[in-house]
Amino acid sequence: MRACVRYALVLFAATPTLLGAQGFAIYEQGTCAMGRAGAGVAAPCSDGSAMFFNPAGLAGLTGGHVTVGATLLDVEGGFTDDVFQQKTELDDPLLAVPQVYISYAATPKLGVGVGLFAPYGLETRWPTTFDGRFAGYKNILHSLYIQPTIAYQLSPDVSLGAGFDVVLGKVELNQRLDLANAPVPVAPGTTFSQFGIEPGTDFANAHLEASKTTVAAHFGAIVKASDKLSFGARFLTQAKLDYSGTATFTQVPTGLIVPATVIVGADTIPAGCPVDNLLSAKVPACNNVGFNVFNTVFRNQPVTTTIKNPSQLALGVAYRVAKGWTLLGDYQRTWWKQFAVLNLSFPQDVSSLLSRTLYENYVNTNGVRFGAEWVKDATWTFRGGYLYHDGAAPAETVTPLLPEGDRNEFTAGTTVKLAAALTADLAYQYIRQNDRRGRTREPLVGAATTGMNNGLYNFHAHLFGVSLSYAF
Amino acid sequence: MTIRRMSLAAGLVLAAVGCHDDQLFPTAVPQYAGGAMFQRYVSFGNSITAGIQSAGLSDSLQLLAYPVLLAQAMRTKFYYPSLKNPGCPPPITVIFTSPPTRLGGASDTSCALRNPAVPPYINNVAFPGADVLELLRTNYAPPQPPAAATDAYKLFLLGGRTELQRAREVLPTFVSVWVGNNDVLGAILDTGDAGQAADITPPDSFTARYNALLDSIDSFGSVRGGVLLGVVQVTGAPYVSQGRAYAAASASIPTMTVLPNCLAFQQLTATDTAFVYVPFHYGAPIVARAAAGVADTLDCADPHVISVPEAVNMISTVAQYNATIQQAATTRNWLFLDPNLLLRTLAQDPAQIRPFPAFPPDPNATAAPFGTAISRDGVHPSTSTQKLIAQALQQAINAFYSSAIPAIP
Repeated sequence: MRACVRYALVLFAATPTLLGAQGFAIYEQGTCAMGRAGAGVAAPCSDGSAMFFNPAGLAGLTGGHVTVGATLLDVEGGFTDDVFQQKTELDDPLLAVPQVYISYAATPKLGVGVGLFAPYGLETRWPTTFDGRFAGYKNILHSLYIQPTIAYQLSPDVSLGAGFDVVLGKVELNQRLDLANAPVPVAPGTTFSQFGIEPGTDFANAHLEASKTTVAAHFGAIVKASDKLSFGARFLTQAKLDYSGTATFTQVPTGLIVPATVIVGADTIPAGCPVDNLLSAKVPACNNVGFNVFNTVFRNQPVTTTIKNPSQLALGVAYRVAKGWTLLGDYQRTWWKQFAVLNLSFPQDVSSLLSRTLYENYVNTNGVRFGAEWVKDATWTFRGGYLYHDGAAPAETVTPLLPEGDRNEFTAGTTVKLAAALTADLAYQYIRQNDRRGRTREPLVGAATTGMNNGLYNFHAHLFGVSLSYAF
Repeated sequence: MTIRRMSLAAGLVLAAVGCHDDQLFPTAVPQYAGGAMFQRYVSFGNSITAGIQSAGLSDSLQLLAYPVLLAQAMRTKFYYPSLKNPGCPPPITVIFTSPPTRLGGASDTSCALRNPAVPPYINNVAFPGADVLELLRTNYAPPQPPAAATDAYKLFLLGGRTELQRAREVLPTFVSVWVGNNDVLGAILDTGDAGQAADITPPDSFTARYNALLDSIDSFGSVRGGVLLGVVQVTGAPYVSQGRAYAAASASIPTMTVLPNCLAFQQLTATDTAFVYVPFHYGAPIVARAAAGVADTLDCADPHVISVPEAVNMISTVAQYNATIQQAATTRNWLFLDPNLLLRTLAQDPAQIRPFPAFPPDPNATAAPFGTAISRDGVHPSTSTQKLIAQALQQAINAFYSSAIPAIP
């Protein structure tokens, strides 16, 4: 049935972030580093998290370290619409981001290790009463990086490191489809809204799940200018994930009844016909008119898309002041411009009516991080930090999937030595995102403009980091 | 810097950046005295409120409906379910043809559908043909009321939902309710037995339904004020002409005979009189035949004609409707506005509301066959009257609520 048309399907409309760095990046990859706002590319923590914060930091360590940790995210936020000033709260559960680092000093100069971390990912959930459900109400993106790493101390002042990343990507998106935007199969050129169906009339649920494995690389260097001053740099390459998976569609009852006999194209639809029947099977109550959309356009079928985890560069400086105090400062740039469009493809949809291009137009972001660390004694170390970064999403792409913006974040943390070989890290981070205007809907065609923005997103989060490190 | 100082500094920065930026929200409160009440205005009603003129409805006409004009004056966002031009159906341009000629030569069932640009919500939830009972229906599942020509509007304008359902989505702060005309109007449009009691909602039923409607509106919990408009005395619509008007016209149409029973009347009050009323759909063909030289007789004992007792029943029923509406307004401390005062004023000028239609070859037969105050269907207000209604509402609302809604543009 060619009938069905360019449904305004907004699949993979974006990949949301509600975590601690720009775009959908996550920077909280180690509890020690989290306590100092992630600063430390010039002097990474010794718990093995250097594999993420600077692979060169593995060189010069002694012995081996195993660190297992997690960052718990208590995310709070919502959307307040312009018209009614009604707020819809995020429905996110307590999220956990895991980290595992195993490092070993093969020689005094050579360090090796393998790390498992998730530098990109997100999970956003909204209630299905929220207008943004048509863009996505439950969206999950996991990018798990497994990174074998090697680092070598070229001289007492210069260390280099590199890692090879195996990236396991998985994406799940759930959204509702709005009957108002759907074309009428037997009346080409018209949508159900032209027959009066109001916006916000759910008639189907779309569930997309896809996965992909790819590779990336990570490089780092540390240069010590003196005993007190060191500089560092790291670069994580882009990971391009060509996702393939399945799109599953299920009908959502509208409960609507056609209140009057109407003639649509060559069909006469009688008064009393349930709209839900009209969309699916042919029944006498609808004069045997049925659009059968769930066996045609909305049958379960493969879907593909490409998402790029962008490359990121961090430059930093560390200065050991005195009496156990160290000050750290990092600058980070992430090339979010690589996340410009999303091409959604449904290879088995011969009509090509489901496929579409979403214009995200992200911009490259800059962030600064400042941290301080005080080694009080052999048992206790304390940390604090502050970071600021701008948002990757431009003003026209602030959506339920990515209600992102400039952020100020504050951190504190501690390390306590529990035993000769066992230490524990605890950290807390508060994220305060500036309120930002955004929209709840995706454009039916073409790129969105700020004219679609219809409310205000707010967001803040409490992050708790905990890890245990064992030295051997 | 000590840890304490760092914490203090961090706290100060946090406080500085943590303020909610209210300026990010566009203002929605009308900026004049009492404007907050009109932040979200919803109009309930039927064809008049929807904007029908000349038995047609289109965006061009919807724009001219009194609630749209009133909302413009209120400076509040107001969306209506825009129907593409030329309309659904297009308006009548000549009523003296059979069937009436519509704009662009369209048929009575022609519908250009809704504009593809869909508003986020609807403020003018009125749909043509609505009586009070239909506003109360929760959906349109069977058993449905008897089919009516205007039923398609339930779909095209409201998407299969009721006025109450659509209004609730808006959480109105102010409402206007003008319903009840269709609880009695059927009696003058009935092409079989005009004026019969079966076409009229009994006053007791009307009262129960109307109060239920208002209770439902109360249940929104958002409404701060409202205006309830009374039901029009439909015997004053120029779609029906007094029998004596036909008698007068027969003087210039020798082939038309008007029997004396068409002159019957009954004085009701000092200002109200019930006459015999001849609906246009019955009287116009007689006039046309006679004017063409074919002798014909108007017998006002015919069931197509509204007799004096039937007229008395209609008039008294409307009076009871309006007592109910006024009581509902009083109970809520809302404004009651009787539109009959305005219409009576207009009726004093025969050019505004003609006592007898302007038949061809009168040049007014095309421009304003029922007078300039009434559109070409003989029932619905013209553009100028829609504006007068809006002006009357604006003035009455300001007087009642001590508000300062600017003048109708």
